[in-house]
Amino acid sequence: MAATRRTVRRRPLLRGLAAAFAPLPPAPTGGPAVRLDLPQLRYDGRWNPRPGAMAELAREVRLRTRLDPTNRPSVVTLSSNALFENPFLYVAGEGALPAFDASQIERLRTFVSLGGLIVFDAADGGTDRAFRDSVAQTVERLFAGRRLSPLSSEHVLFRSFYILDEMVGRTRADPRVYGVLDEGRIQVLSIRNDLGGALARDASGRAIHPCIPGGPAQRERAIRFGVNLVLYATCLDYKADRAHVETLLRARRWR
Amino acid sequence: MVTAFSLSLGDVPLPTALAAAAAVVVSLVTLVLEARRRGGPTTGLVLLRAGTVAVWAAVLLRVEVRTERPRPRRSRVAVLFDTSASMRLQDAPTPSERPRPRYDRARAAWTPAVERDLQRRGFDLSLHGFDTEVRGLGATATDLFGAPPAGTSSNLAAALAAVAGATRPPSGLLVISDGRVFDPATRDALLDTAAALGVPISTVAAGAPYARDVWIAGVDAPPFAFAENVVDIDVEVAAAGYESVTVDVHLRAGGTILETRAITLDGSGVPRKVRFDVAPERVGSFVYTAEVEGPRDQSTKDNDRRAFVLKVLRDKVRVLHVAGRPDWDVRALRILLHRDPNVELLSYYILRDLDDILRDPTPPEDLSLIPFPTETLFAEELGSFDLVILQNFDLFRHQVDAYQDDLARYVRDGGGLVLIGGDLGLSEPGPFSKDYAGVLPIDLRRPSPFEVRPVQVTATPDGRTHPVTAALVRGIDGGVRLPRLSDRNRVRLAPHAASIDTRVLLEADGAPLLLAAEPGKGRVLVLATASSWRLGFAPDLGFIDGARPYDALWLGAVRWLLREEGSERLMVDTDRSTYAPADAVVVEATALGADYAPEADVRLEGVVRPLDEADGDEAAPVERFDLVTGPLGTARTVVRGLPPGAYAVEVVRAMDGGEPDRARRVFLVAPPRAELADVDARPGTAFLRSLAERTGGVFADLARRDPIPTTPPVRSAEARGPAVGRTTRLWDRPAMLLAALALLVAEVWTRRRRGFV
Repeated sequence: MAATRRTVRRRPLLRGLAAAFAPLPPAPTGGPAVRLDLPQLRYDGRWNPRPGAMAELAREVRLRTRLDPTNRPSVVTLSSNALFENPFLYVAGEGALPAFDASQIERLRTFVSLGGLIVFDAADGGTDRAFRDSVAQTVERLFAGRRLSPLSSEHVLFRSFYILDEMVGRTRADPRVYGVLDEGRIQVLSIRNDLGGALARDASGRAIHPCIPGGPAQRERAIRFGVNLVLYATCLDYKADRAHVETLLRARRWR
Repeated sequence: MVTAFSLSLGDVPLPTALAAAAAVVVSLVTLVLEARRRGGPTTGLVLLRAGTVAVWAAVLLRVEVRTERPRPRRSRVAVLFDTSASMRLQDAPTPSERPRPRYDRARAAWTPAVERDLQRRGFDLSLHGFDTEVRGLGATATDLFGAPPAGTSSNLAAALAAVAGATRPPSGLLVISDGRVFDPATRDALLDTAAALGVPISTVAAGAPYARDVWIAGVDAPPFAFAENVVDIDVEVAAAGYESVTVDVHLRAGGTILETRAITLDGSGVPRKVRFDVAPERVGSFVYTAEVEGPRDQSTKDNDRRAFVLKVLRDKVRVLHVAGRPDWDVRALRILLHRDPNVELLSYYILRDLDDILRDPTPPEDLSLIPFPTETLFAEELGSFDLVILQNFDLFRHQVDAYQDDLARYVRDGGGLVLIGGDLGLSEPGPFSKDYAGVLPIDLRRPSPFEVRPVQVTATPDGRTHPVTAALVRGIDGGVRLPRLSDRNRVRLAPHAASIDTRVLLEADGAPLLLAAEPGKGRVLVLATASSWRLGFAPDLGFIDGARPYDALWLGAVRWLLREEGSERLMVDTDRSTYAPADAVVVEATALGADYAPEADVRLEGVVRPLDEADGDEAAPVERFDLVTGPLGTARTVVRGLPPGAYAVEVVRAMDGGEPDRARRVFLVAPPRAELADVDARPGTAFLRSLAERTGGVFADLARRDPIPTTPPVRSAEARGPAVGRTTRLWDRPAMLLAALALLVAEVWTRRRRGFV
C-alpha cells in the first residue's frame, strides 16, 4: 500500500475534539469487564506498612481514567503461582526487606524477564536507608552487574497521563525515581517518597498520613504520579510516540 | 600407384589343371600344323587361338589377379572456431578502416578454397565450434558461420581437452578465435595445459587492434533493499578507443528512467564508477537496468545495458494500534510490536472518556492527552497502514462507526485487520454496516458476550497448517503446555464465513477463539479474548523455537497479515534468479488451500512476459503453460530458449466467485557479460601467438591480412597406413565368357576369309 504520511493536522484535530465531546453511546454494561489487578507482595516482615494504598490507587485510576482496576487488589507471595497472574508487583516496606532465598530471587528474575514490572515503595519516606539499601541489594542479585539508577524527569513515566516534573509521595525527600531498564522499558522501579503513605485512607475516606511539606496539593501530585505509574504499567512508553509528542508540542504542553 | 601385382590359381584339382594345359598345347599345336599345311600368314589366327585358349584357361583354372597400392599419407586436423559472443565485437586493423565483426573477418578468411587447399595437401578436417562447450559442426564454412556467435564464454581448455582426448585424436589443431579465451590469472596454466597435449596448435587471430566502445563493466547493487529507504547502486562504465567521451548513464526501473548521470571517460578501458541513489517505493522483486548511452560508432551495443533484480523488502511496516482500554493485553502486544525494528507503530489508546472528564476536571494543560483523530486515522490515512489492530475497542462510543465502510474497503483492497476481544470491542451491539460485517468472519448481528473464566486453548486441524498458528501448534505437539486464558468472547461464525475463506485456528473450550479470513485482497484475524498475554507470562512457560507461545502466535499472525514471504496461498519460484541464454528455466508453482495445506489437482495458468518495457505488465507473453499441482501442491515446468532480457513468470489460479489468485516471480536471462566487457583484442592476439609458439604451431593474424595456414604442423608420429589390396577373380567375370566367344567368332570369321573350312 502506498504510504502517504502526514502529520496530524488542525482540522481533523478539531473534528476529533468535537467527537470527543459529542454525546456518547453508553459503554457496554451488564457483563464482566477486563479488570486490572495491582497485586502487592507479602513477605516475612513489614510488607504492608500502608494498608489500602493499592486499593486507593485503583480507585483513583478508575475515577480518573478509562482503566478499570479491581476494587480489591490481590496479595501474592513469591512462592505462589498467583505471582504470575499479573505482570505488575507492588512491593512496599518499612525497614529492610528480608534476604530472599535463591529460589525466591529466581522467581522474581523470571517475573521481570517475562515482562513484569516491580515497584518498590519505601514507607519511610527517605528517613531510613534500610529499605532502599535492601532493595538495591535485591536488584543486584536479580540483575548481575546492574543497579538502580535515577530516571530522567523527561522519562515517559512523568507524562504517561498527567504531566509531572517530579515524584512526590507522603514526603518529598527525593524527587527522583530509580529504575532498571531493559530496552527502554522499566523492569524495576524504586520510589523513596512513600507513595503508599500519600494514598492510604481510612475507612471514612480521610487521608491517614499528612503529606509533608506540600499538604493536599502534594497529595494530589502523589496521586497523579500513582495514576501515571499504572498507566505506564499498561501503556509503557505510549506517550513517547511521535504523534503524541508532536501534538503536545504544538499545544505547548511539553515540559 | 600400384606397387604389387600377382596372379594366382584357384583351388583346381591337379588332373583338371593338367588336362587344361594339355588342351591348350594341343589346340595351339593343331592350329600351327594346319596353318603350315595350308600356307599363308597364320600369326593372326595363332593370336586369336591363343587368346581364346588363355581365356578358357583362366576360367577353368580359376585365375585371380591381386594388385596392391599403399594408403596415401593424410593427417587429421581439428579446426576449432570460437563461437562466443566476443566474436561479434567490431574492430579494425587500422584507425582509418571501417570496423567489422571479428567473426565476419574469420568468415572472409575461411573460404572454400582454403578448405580445398587443406584437403589437397593431405589434411582431413574435422570442424568444431567452441564457447561454453565444444560441439561438432557441419562440414562446410556455411555451417560454421550460419548465425552470429552468441556463446556466453570461451572455454578453450575444455575444447582442447575434448578434441585431443577423442578416440582418434587429431594430428594437429587449428584455432580460429579472437583470443578472448582466458582469464589473465590462469593464462600460463592454459598454455601449459595446451602444451601437455603434445599436438601442434596453430592459431588464427580474428581480432583487430582498433576498436571503439563504451560499455557497462559492472553493477554493484545489494541483493535486497528496504522500501522507501535509499540504496546505493554503483555502475561501472568503461570506454576504449576514444580520446575522451562523455556519455549519459541511465538507471531504469521497468521502462522508466529513474535517474541519469553524465560521465566523461578516457579510452583506457579502466572502469569508472557512477553512483545512483534509489529509494524503491514498493515491496517486491523488480528489474532495474543500468544503461549507457554510448556513441554511434562503438563496437557493439550489446554491452551497453546491464539488468539486475532488486528485491525490495518492507522496511517499516506501518501498524495502527487502537485500544479501547489499556490493560495487560495491550501492554504485551505493545512490547511485542515495539521490539520489532521494522514496525512503525502508531498507537492510540483511549485513556479517558467523557465520564472520566466529568469526574476529574483536571485542566487539559496538566494532562498529556491528545484528541483521538478519528477522521485522520480512519479516512484520510487509513490506506497508509499495513496493519490495523483494534484491541478491545468500542467503535460506536468513539464515533469510529462512521468509518466502518472505510475499514471494509481498506481490507478488501489488501489491508490487514485484527480485532481483539474484551468487554468493549466484540461486545458492542452495533448496528454494524453490511460492508464491515461482510469482511469479518464473526457474526456481528448480536454481541459476542464477554466471559471471565479460565479457558484452555486448543488447536484445530486448520490451525496445524495455517501460517498464523503452525509454529504454535508445532510447539504444543512438542510438549509446550499453554497457560489457561482468563476470559473469552463467545463468538459465532458469520453466515458468510465460508465465502471469505474463514478458518478457525484455535478454540477455547470448544468455541472459536482465533479466526482467520481472507475477504477480497485483505486478511482479517479475530482473537476472541483479552488475555492472550497469558501465553507469554507464566512461571513454567515452554518455548517454541526460542520464542514464548505468545510471541510465536503473534509473529505468525503479523507475517500472515502482512503477506510476508511464505504466507501466500499461491507461490511461484524459479530455480535461480539469473540464467544464461541457453539455460533451462525451471518454474515451480505451489498451491495451498485455505487451511494452508498443500492442495493437489489445482489448475494453474502461467505466462512468461518480458519486462523490458513498461514494467512488463503490458508486454505480450513469450511463453504460456498450464500446470496441475501434484499431491504436494506443487507443479513444475521448464522454459527454454529465452533470449537475454528480464522476465516475469506469473501463475494464475481461478478462484470460485472471487478475484483470481496470482503469484509472480522475476528473473533474468543475462547476456554474455564477460565476453563483451572489454573490446581490446590485443591481449587475445598476443595469447594466440604464444599458444602457437608454445605448442609448435604457426600463427596467423587476420588483422595483418595473414592467410589461414594451409600447411599447419602436425604431429610427426603420424603413421603410414597399411597397403590397400584388391583381388580380381578373372574366372568369375561375365566379361571373360564374352571375350572367349568374341575370340572364337573372330577366329571363325578369319578362317573363312582365308578359305579355311
